[in-house]
Amino acid sequence: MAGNTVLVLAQKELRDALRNRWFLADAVALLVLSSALSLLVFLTGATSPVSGFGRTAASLVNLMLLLVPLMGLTLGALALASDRERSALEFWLAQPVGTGAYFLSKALGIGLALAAAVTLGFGASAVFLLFVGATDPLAFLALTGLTILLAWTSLTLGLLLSSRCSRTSTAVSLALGLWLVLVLLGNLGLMGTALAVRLPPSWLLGIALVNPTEAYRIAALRLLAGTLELLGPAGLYADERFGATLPHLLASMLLLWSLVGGFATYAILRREVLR
Amino acid sequence: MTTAPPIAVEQLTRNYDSQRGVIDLTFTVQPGEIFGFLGPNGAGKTTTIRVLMGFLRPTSGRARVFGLDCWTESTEIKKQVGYVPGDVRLWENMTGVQFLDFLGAFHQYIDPAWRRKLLERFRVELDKRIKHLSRGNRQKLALVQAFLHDPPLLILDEPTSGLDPLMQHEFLTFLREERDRGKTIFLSSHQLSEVERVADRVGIIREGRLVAVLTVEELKRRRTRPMELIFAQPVDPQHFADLPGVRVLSVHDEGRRIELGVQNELPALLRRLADLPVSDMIYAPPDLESVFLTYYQAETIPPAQEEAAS
Repeated sequence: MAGNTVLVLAQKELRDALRNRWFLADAVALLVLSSALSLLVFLTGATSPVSGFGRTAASLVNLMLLLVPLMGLTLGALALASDRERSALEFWLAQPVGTGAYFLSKALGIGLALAAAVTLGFGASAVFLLFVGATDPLAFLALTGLTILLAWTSLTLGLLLSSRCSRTSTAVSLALGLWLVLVLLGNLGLMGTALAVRLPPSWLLGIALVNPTEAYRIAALRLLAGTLELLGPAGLYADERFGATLPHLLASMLLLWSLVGGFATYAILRREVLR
Repeated sequence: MTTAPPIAVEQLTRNYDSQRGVIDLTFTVQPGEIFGFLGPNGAGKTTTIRVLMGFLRPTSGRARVFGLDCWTESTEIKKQVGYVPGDVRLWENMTGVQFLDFLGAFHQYIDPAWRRKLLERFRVELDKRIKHLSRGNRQKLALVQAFLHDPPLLILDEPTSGLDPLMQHEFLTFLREERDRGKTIFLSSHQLSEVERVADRVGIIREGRLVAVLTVEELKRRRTRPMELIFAQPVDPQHFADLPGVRVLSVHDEGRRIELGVQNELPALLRRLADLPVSDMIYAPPDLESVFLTYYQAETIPPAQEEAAS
């Protein structure tokens, strides 16, 4: 019964997410921009299939870094707060559905929708690159998987914010604030601190990895370029210290972020779902 | 089926950060009765219901449904409960059929004949999207979903709000029939007439505290109905001092307008009025305030009564 309940709820969440205007706008933007990027990079800079793939993928990583956390955070933020605001939560909770099943179905449904959007975005590029013979399928697959992990991490952080809010406007504002911090301010702040305090490379790497979007950036770069020289001393240190296992380690870190975010949200909901 | 009472609440208190919730509630709802939970808006009815449904954790005290703890065993409880929230807002993009199918999927078995009977009884519009339904039709849909799995306990928070008078009547008749089938019904309302029509016993809540639990017969006997009398000449309020079940609530215009509280003791009062220069009389139907007049005399009597008392 519990498994069936989660399935019924998750299907509904998936349907709702696929109808959500925020989600649709982001997914379409992702699809259009990734296709346009692939085309542009290939037409302007590719001299060989491999470099064409590398340049396209690097551009895609930057694009994903902006869009995917935005999608995950906003969808997560809307998920619980909008149920509360619309009083739909009372109908959910009046059914024999435990808090765990309610939360799990939300995370599953929206997580699947996000994975579909990311796969579609990358898929469009992959089709194009395959067409011109410039795709490294394995690296592309790994990058897609890594991006889905980033989406899920952002989703659980959005859900965590939502778990404390009774209004969608508050939840979305908080999500946008967090997005700004993770994607823009976090990076700038880290660079400023590194310059001002002259942090050792190990500390610099450690602090960077607190931010899941940085973990994604580093893993993606390592995956595509095979080296982290571009990142300076911290990159060299990471290469030297962890070598080829670094992408796996960072992917595990993203997974850990998702799980921690998920458990924290569940713990808050378990305490009290209605506010 | 357990022998524990459908609802047992013991010294239940629930506080909010900034608002009063409910304080020290104790009551029991017996099997096969309609228990009216009566109180004005903001009295704590919805908070109590949300604790019973396991949506809110009690600050202190205990709430049990069929012997199960409302907080730790709420999933099990909800298999045996049908619920209508006070503020019915449904998923707007679903049609009525989709809504009922979706919620029905959470229960082990829905009897198709029973479902059909409910839909016919409440004349629910099923094919339209919920966002295109009127408030009354949404409410009917919410009522049907509560009864759909034929649960032994119904917890209904202001269930008739939004229904037209005919459908209200139909629904209250249906509640009595369900009670006769052995169902237990916890009916929250701020309408005295509604509760009086169907309930067996009534709990009265005000400002978060349970004022009284009594049978409907006791309630009718004890409630005080306000009567406003207009006289052609000033009348001494002492004319009413010796009448049983009658008390002076306020005196205005030097005795030309007097408000009385009357406890179903009309014959003696009417005889007394026949000797007085009555030019008009308003004897309103009983309402919630008339119940509170009984229990909160000091609080509800306006300052003008002091004039009468002196």
